[in-house]
Amino acid sequence: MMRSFRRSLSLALLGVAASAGAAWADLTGAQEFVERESDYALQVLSDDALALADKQERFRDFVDRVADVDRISRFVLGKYRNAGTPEEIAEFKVLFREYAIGIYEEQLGRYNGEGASLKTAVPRGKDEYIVTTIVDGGALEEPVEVNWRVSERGGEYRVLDVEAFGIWLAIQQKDDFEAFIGQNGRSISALNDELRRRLSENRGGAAQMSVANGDMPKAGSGSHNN
Amino acid sequence: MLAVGAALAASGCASTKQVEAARETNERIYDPLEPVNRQMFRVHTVLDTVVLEPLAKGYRAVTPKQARTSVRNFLNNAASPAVFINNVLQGDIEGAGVTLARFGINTTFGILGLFDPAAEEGLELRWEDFGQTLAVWGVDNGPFLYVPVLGPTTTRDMVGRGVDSFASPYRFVEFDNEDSWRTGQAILNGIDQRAALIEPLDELERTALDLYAAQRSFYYSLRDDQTANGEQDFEDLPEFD
Repeated sequence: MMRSFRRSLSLALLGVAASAGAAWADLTGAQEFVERESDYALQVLSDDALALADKQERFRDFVDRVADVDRISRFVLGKYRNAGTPEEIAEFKVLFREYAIGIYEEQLGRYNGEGASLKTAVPRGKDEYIVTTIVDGGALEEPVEVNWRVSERGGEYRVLDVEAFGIWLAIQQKDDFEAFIGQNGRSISALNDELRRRLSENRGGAAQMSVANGDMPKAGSGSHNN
Repeated sequence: MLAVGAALAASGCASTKQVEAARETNERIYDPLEPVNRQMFRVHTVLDTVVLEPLAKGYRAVTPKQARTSVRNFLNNAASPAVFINNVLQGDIEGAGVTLARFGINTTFGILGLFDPAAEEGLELRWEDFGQTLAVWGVDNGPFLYVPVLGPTTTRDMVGRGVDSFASPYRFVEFDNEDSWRTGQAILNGIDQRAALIEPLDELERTALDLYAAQRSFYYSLRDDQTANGEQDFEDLPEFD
């Protein structure tokens, strides 16, 4: 009896130790992911030899590789994520990606030499991590703490949300979109119309025009559903 | 008052669908008065465009940065008694000590609070008000409110503002033109705060689809961050799936 109890306890402790080791490894992985990708982003931003158009192209690749655009797209629809038709949701994902990239793309030419360094990382839930970095220098009067919400699935890390000054970007976006949909007949298609209008109003280029002209992927294609 | 009445009347004309949608709240935001608040937001936007923002931009244009920093330091120092009381009410004795030390150092070496030598010694300002104290005591935000000129707030924070005003040092010292001084300080405080928000509010206006909702979300996030003193509980974040 006592022997089997000890054996069970040993196995349990081994299990805890193994899972703690795995969590530590994942935590380090999340840290390395943020460090690697933020170094890459800063390198692109600070490369004076790159034309703005090249920076924008690399930024688009960067967003697709680093951010979980599919999950973010569903999240920002909030309580209306199941309200639209599959076609409307598929169209929204394309428009949202363009819209979100467009917001930050405008800032790419305004880099002033800011740098980032890793501060801490903590686990969140069963497959997420919050990685904290300190952004300093450049045009900043004082260091700013930036939190990255990173998910890990199958050994692959993706950013879900980013926070500075208490503002989580995806949550702020969700509150905005949710309210807009609520005020416009709870219609995803009204949101799509507005995003399309803003894209065609504010930006040119072939990618935007194809979106503005309704050149959308068929529902279910383009991005996978988790 | 006229504006409030007009807005209330106008809100009665809002479509049923809009009112229903407004009553649906998400987990974080409670805005049962949304139709009225949206009218107040419109009133505020007009006042902001015509008066507040030009004042803030003018203030920024005519004063050097150091002068604006000194104004902010002075206003922060004047608010120290209220911050101290809230430190104590929140059971934050260490914070109360920091606030007291800051007040002593900045009022003397900082020339009546115009400079902030305490921060250089590592005693940095950590803003506390009665709204945050109520939050620490477990009082919920209550209904969201949009008040023309003041902007977004909540019922809890409005109560907090009222209580904090009683802790102003000018309530305990009698001097000539006391009312003018107090009014002047309130106006300066408003202009200073609006000036600090020029870029964030412009950015919201540029990117938001529903500016009212974006400002509301922004307000909740900033206040949550202030109450948590920057130490968020990440487990409270909404799930993605």
